[in-house]
Amino acid sequence: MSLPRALCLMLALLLAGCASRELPFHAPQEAVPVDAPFNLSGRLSVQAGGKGQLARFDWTHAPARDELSVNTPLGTTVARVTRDAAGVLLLADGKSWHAADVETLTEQVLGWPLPLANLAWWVRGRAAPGVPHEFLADGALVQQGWTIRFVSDEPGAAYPQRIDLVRDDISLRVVASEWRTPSIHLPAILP
Amino acid sequence: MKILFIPLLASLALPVHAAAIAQLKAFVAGTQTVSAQFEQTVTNQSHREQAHGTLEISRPGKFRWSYAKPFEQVIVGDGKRLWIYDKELAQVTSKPLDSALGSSPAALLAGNNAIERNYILKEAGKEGGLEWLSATPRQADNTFQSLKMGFSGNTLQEMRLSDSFGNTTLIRFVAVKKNPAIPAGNFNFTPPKGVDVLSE
Repeated sequence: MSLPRALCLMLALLLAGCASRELPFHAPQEAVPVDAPFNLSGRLSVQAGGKGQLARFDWTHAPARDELSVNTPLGTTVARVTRDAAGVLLLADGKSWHAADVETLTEQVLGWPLPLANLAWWVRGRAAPGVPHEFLADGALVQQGWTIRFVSDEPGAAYPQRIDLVRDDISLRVVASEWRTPSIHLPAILP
Repeated sequence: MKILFIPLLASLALPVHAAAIAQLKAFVAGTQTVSAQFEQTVTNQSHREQAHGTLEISRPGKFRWSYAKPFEQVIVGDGKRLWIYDKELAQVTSKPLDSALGSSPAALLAGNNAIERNYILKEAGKEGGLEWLSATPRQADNTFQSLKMGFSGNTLQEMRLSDSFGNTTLIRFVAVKKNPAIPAGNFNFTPPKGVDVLSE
């Protein structure tokens, strides 16, 4: 090994050692993707048109219904999006808006598009099924105009800890704080 | 003698049995700086979420409200701007400071008379050993519907918030220190290297 090459290798190792704990996230391969219901709390940030916002969210997802609340640090809700068979409803500032899909509605009302249907897969580190997609050499997913980077903080995690999404001049970043299985309300059974 | 005794008795009795509004005024008037720990419990329709952290206030208008668990988030009012830093998101937002309660109750508590100027205060009775007041915003606030503050010993002990979406938040203050020495640097925010700073 030539000296410059050895130096390069050393430098590469040093840089890798200095980098933060961020790791690329790789989802396990599944024959048939399963859209299991989930409840996820986390934080998101939005950067669009030179402006940015940071908020907490609470999201309950099932194949037929989504409910996502945008919350203050104190846990009070400032906006809520609900999607079901009847369409999409957005509640904010004591007003309500209806539309056919979440992305258009949030772009109109909040000023940035929330790609909720695909995000339900992306937060789990997977491509949305049935929609064309490709993976870049660095592991990033490209789907429906968005480039999605999955970041993990521990090897072998079930889901990415953070995802970064970019489309044109819009950047979204989502951090998962807590995954829960939605509670099913059944009468308590005593032993 | 009688004339002397009546005001003396009244002044002795006041701090012990004072109603909440009087205790709030005494708390604000008696503290240039405040430090405390807080425990926050948010209850919504799907679950209950607990968080805790620390609070520092320097009147007028400066505060630092830090969440330590379950994740690190720091909210600083430097007197001019409001900064929110989320460590895992690696992002900071900055916007002109107002007393928006949604960002932090510290914004409300850090003012000299912001509470009375911005809210209509009413006595809300005694419960759990505390005297309670309810504060209704003079201008409609889109982040909450009702706010209550509980006092004892002229010190804020608890806050309760609810919104129109069915969420309730309980904040309990512990280890409240009145007029501690707090380094001025705690109320300045310098974005850490490598984070995006977004302007709202």
